[in-house]
Amino acid sequence: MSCLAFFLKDNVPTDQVETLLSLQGIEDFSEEYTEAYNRKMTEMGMNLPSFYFSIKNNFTLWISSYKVDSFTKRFANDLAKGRYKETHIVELISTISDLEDKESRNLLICQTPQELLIKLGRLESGLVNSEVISHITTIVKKMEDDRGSWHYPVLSWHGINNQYHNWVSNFIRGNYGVSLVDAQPVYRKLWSSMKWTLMLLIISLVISGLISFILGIYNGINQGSIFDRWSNGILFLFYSIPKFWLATMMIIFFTTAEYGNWTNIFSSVGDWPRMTGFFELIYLSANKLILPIIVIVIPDVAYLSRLIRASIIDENNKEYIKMARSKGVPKRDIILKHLVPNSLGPTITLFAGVLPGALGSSLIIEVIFNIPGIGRLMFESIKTADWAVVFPIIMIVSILTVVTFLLADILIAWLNPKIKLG
Amino acid sequence: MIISIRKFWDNISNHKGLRFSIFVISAWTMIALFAPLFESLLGVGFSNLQPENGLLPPFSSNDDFFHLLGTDYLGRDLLAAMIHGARVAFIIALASVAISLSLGLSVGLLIGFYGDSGIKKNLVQQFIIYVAIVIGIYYLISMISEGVNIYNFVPLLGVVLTSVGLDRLGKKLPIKKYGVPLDIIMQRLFELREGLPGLFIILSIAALISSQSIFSVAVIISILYWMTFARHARAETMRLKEEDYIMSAYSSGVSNFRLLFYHILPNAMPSIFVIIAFTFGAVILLESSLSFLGIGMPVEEVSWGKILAGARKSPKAWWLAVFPGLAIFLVLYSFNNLADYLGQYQRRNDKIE
Repeated sequence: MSCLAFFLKDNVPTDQVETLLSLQGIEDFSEEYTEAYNRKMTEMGMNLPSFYFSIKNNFTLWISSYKVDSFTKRFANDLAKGRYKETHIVELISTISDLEDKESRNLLICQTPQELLIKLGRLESGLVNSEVISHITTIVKKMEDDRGSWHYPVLSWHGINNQYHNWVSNFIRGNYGVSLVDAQPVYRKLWSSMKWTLMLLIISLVISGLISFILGIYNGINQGSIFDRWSNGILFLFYSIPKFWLATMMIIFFTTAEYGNWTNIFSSVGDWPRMTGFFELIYLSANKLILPIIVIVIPDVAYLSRLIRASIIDENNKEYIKMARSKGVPKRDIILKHLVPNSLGPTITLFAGVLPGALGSSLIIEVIFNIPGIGRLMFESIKTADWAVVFPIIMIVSILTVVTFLLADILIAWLNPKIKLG
Repeated sequence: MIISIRKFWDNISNHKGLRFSIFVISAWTMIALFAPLFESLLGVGFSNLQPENGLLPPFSSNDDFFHLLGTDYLGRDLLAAMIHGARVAFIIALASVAISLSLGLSVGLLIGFYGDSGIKKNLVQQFIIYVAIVIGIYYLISMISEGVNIYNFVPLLGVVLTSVGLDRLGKKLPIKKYGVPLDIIMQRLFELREGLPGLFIILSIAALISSQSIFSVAVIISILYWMTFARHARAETMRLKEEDYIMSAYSSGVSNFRLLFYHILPNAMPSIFVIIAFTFGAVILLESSLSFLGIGMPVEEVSWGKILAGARKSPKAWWLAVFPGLAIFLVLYSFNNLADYLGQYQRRNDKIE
C-alpha cells in the first residue's frame, strides 16, 4: 500500500521543489534560483534515489558518478533516460553552465533537447552570443544523430538511504511534511478535517445500524408479510439511488427558497463553526448535519437491512430453531437468544465492509455539502495539485480500512468461539 | 447449469420488475447506440450554445427549437445532452467491463485452475521465469512510452523465446521441483485492493493522467474492477474443479487447455454474468460521480454527472437535477435488479440440480 502511494507520489507531473520555492517567493529564472533549488532539494531529500533499487536503461549508469549540483543532475538524468550518450550530454551541460547570464542558464535547463531548441529560439538575442547558440544547436543535432538505440535494463541497488525509506519512516513518526499550497504542516490539516469525517461517519453508522437492524430483523422474522414485501421493494429502490443525486436534490429543494418558503427547512450550506469542543460542535452544526446524514443513511440502510434480513431468514430455516419452536420456547426468547446472536457473525463483516464505501461516498457528500472533512480536503488537494496532502490521506484512509477489517475479524472470533484466529 | 436463454426468458416473462429493468437497459442501449441519429431527429446538438436561452424550463420553446426538457445555463438542450451523456456512460461502462472481464477472467481461471502447486518448476526454471518477467516488463514499459519500434520489440521477442527455450532445457535438470506461487501472489493483490479506498485511488490516478479522454477513464476504472472478476472467476473455477464431470474429463485424458475453455469456462459463466451486470451499473455510477466531481473527464465531453454538477450552480433549475439523476438512478436500478435476479436464478438452478 505504501509502495503504491509512493509510486503515485513519485510520478506526479508537478515538481514539488519548484512549487515550494515559488511559495517562498523565489521565482523561476532568477539568479539565486539554482542555489535555492539545490538547498531545498537536499533539505527535502529529493536528491536521493527514490527506491531501494532501480531498473534503468544502460545509458543512465554514469549519472550517479556525475559530479554536478542536483538541479543540473536532474536535467542530465532526463536526457540520459532518453538514451542520449554521455559525451554529448556532458558537453551540452558544460556549455550551458559556462554561460555568464544566469537567467538564461536556468531557462535552458529543461528535459528534452527539442524543448531546449524551442527555448533557444525564444531567448532574447544579446543575452547569449550567437556563437554559443549555434554551438548548442550543433551539439543537439549531434545528440539526435548519435542517439543510442539498443538498450537493456540494469538493476542497481541503492541501499537504505533512499526517498521511499525516509518517506515511510517520516510517516510512521508522524512527520507528513508541509502542504504545497499554503505551506501549513500536513498533519494539522489532516487532523482538523479527520474530526469532521469521523463525526459524520460515526453518527451515520450508528443511525443506519440501528434502523437496519430493527428493519432487517423484523422483516426477516415476518418473511413474506405485506410490510416485508413493500419495504423490501422500496429499499431496493433506495439501494440504487446515487448518493450524489440525492444530495444535490436535497440541497436544491430543502436549502433554498426557490420553491416556496415551506421547503426551506434547513440552513443553507455555508460556513461551518470553527473548531470548538466535540459535542459543542455537534450542537452548533446539528441543523446542517441532518441532510448529509440522511443522504449517507438511506442507501446504507437499504444495503444493510436487506443483508441482515437474508441472514436472519437463513438462520430461521435451520433445524435447531424448528426444534426450539416445537419444544415451545417463547417466540421472544427464540428471536433474542437464538436468532439474533447467531446471525450476527456475518453481519459484523458487512458492517466493516460498509466503512470503506462510506469513506468513499463521504468524499462526494462532503464536497456537495461543503463540510471541511477529509474527503473535501482530498478533493481540493487534487484540484490544486497538492500531492503532499493527497498521499498521506490515501495512506491513512487505507490504514483505517485495514484496521476496521481486523477489528471485525477479532470481534467475530470473540463472538463465535468456533472460529480460531491465526 | 448453463442458463438456456429460452428457459430464462420463460422465467422472466412473469416478473414485472425485471421486465421493466430489461426494457430500461435496452432502451438506453439503443439511445446510446444511435445517439447521433436521435440528436439529428431532435434538430439540436448538445453543444449548441445559446446563452440568451439559458435555463428555459421543460416544454418551452424559443424561436428555433422546442426544448422538451429545458435548457441549462448556457442554453444547451437538456434532452440532447442527456442522449449524448448516455452514449458516454455506456461507452465507458462497456469498455471498462470488456477490459476487466478479459483480464480478470483469464487471470482468475488460471490461478483457480493451477493454484499454487499446479505448475511445478525447479529453482533454475523459476529463476529464469522471474528474470524474464522483469526484463519483459522493462521492454513493455519502453513500448508504452515510446511506441513499438525495432529496439524494444526485437529484444522483447528475444527474451520471450530464450526464456521458453531455457525453460525447456532446465526441465531436464535433476533438481527438486516446487510449485509456482501464482495463487498466493494474486491473493495478496486482491487483499491490497480490498484495503484501498477505491474512489480515492481512482481520483488521484485520474488527476495524474495528462491526456484525458473517455478511454483513459475506462482504463483507470478497469484497473480496480478486473480484480473483482478475477476473484469470482477463481472461486468459481476452484469449485468446478472438484465436480465429478470435470474429474472424469480429466481422467479420460482431456488436455488442460480444453478442460479450461470447453468445460470449466462455460460452466463458470452464469455466476460471471451476475458480476457483469453488477459491474456495469457500478461503473456507470462511478463514471457519473467522477464527472460530477469534474475529475478525469475531458472538459468538452458532456455526461450525466456533469449536467448534475451544473444543477448545483443554478438551484432554480430543478429539471437539471431531476432528469439526469433519474436517468442514472433508473439505469443503476435496472442493472442491480438484473444482477440480483440472475443471482437468485442461478442459486435456484443449482439447488434443483
